[in-house]
Amino acid sequence: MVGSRKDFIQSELLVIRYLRGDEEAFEELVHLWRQPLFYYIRRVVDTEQDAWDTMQETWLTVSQKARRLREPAAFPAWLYKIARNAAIDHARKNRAFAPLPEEKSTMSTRASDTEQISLALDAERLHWGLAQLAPLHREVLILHFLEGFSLAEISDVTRVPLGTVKSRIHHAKQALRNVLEREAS
Amino acid sequence: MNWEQLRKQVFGLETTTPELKEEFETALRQILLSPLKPWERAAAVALVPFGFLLTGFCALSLLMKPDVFSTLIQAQVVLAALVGMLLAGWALRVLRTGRHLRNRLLFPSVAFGLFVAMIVISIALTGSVELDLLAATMLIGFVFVWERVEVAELRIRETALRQELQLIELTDCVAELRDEKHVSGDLNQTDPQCEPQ
Repeated sequence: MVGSRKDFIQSELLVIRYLRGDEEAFEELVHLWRQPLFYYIRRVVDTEQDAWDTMQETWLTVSQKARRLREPAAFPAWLYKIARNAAIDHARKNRAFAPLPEEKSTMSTRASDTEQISLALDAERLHWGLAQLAPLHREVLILHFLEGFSLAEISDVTRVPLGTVKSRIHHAKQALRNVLEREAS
Repeated sequence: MNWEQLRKQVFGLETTTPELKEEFETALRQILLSPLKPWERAAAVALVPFGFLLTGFCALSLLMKPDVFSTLIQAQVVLAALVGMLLAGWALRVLRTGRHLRNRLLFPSVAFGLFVAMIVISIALTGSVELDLLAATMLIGFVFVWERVEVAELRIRETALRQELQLIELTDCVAELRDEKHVSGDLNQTDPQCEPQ
């Protein structure tokens, strides 16, 4: 499962092996990213069937375009960008990815935010809380806190400016906190 | 509970239907087995007869009318026949395996080797080399060197990453060991599990 620096190194090593011509590395790459990628996709599309279809389209695109990837370290963001595009196609059909009103705040997000969010959280509450959020809020929280992407990478994946990503994360955290507090009370 | 454990637990909460997962696995195997696009397959199919025809034409030309060609042209026709065989062999292998030959140095190496061979033959037989041939060889040589540099960069990056990974694993191992020894009170014992591999 991907998330820590060690996981990202292993992922990059697999990408390098694949770029050098090792076909087995592709299968290992799929295995390494399967769970986090599926979790992300499942939060964007409506049904499980759509999620598996999106996974399939994503890896098909990766297998066809991987040679164009010039920087192996950029693979995770590239992978999620492909997955996001495929997922949005499915989601658009069901109008699940309606855009949010523009946020004006440009709050910064610090590393300690992870601890702030994790306070008194357990996995099931977080999983449930994420499901209650608006799609775009849910997306940035998953990418940043669960998938371990930097703000710049999220900006790349979601194709929005860095400031918007910061503000979206700030609002998403507030929304998640509100949801969890409401549920607790 | 730390954040890493929480994250893993959250991912683990995602439920999946075994049948749909199996469908995905099957589709993935198809992706892995046959990544050839239709036009790539068509190109490979066309290359097989082309390669054999080229080889046959060159061989027949040399056998039927050997006196028509100069020695230099004859040598180049032999090379062309060789190219035809290589093309047909490559296309047949692509069709048989249903996938690209992903060794990125293969084509530049073969092309560069053929052009160098043509120059060597030219110099050996006539004592000179045509500028066009020299320019083409240099151009292909540039592509060949470029590919080699990129592959070398990937190898260097791979080596650096492997060392970083080893360092992280050693650090984790030492940290775990330290925690265990703090609990057991034995700080002088060494553990072979943390030996670098």
